[in-house]
Amino acid sequence: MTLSILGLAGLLGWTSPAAIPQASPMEARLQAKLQEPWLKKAAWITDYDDAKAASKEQGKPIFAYFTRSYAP
Amino acid sequence: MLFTHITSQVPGEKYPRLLQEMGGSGFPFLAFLSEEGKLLAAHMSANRTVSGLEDTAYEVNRFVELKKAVEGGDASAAVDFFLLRMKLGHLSWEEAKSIHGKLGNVTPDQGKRIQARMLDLEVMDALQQVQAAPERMNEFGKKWSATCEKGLFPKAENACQFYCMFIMQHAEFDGNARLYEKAYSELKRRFDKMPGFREFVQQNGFERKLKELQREG
Repeated sequence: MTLSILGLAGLLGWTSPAAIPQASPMEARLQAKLQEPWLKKAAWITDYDDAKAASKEQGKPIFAYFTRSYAP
Repeated sequence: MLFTHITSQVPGEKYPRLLQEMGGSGFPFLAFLSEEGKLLAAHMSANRTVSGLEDTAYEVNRFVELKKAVEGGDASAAVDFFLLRMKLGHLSWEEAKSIHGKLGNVTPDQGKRIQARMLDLEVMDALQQVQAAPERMNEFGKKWSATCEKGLFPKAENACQFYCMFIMQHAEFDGNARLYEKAYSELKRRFDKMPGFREFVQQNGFERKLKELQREG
């Protein structure tokens, strides 16, 4: 199997570090936070609009836990 | 309904200031919200225990039940709903006065509880006025002297603290040792076990002032 020069250039371009989208540090921290075990132990909603909609649908108040991911 | 808001500082995050909008200033912050996102109760740090959280949750559920009952036309729920709204800090003093004027018959016990809760709101309203004009502290102390003499004190801790201190300031100005002692006794009864209270008393010279008033009286 041979690759054309163009194909090889394209392959290199696809795999070069500059082309792979990098998560920002803040995004990476957010993703790490979302993987924390406590979030999986109960049915936590992480979107405010979804929480309000679910509250309205079920007729229950919202228990809100405010935390952060940008710093420890 | 469990909701967690994670402030991420990721560009474009939804509701980056939701914590502040709910009155929070640090993490973690626990609160109960309505389906419209209105703050029903914030669980404050002074009571951040499991039983404290259970108490707050109970009050929020009670609020939801009473609201439904009142909206369904149950007049008997209106007084308890009014009391709970005041306790949870949903009403200003002006709003509470307006609602109070439209309430139907109340039992003597309900009347006492309403009076105490409305006093909470009145004191906090007065505090805002005093912060703008400190010279008015004596005026409010004088106004509340009669209620203090009858043994009526606010239920909320912060309101009680300011109420007592306003009255003590007026009593000192007026040379009234008995009134000073009555307000100071309640202050001690409510806050003596709080960290820093003894230092606070010493810094402000409350004991010394009481003794001076008693000598002069």
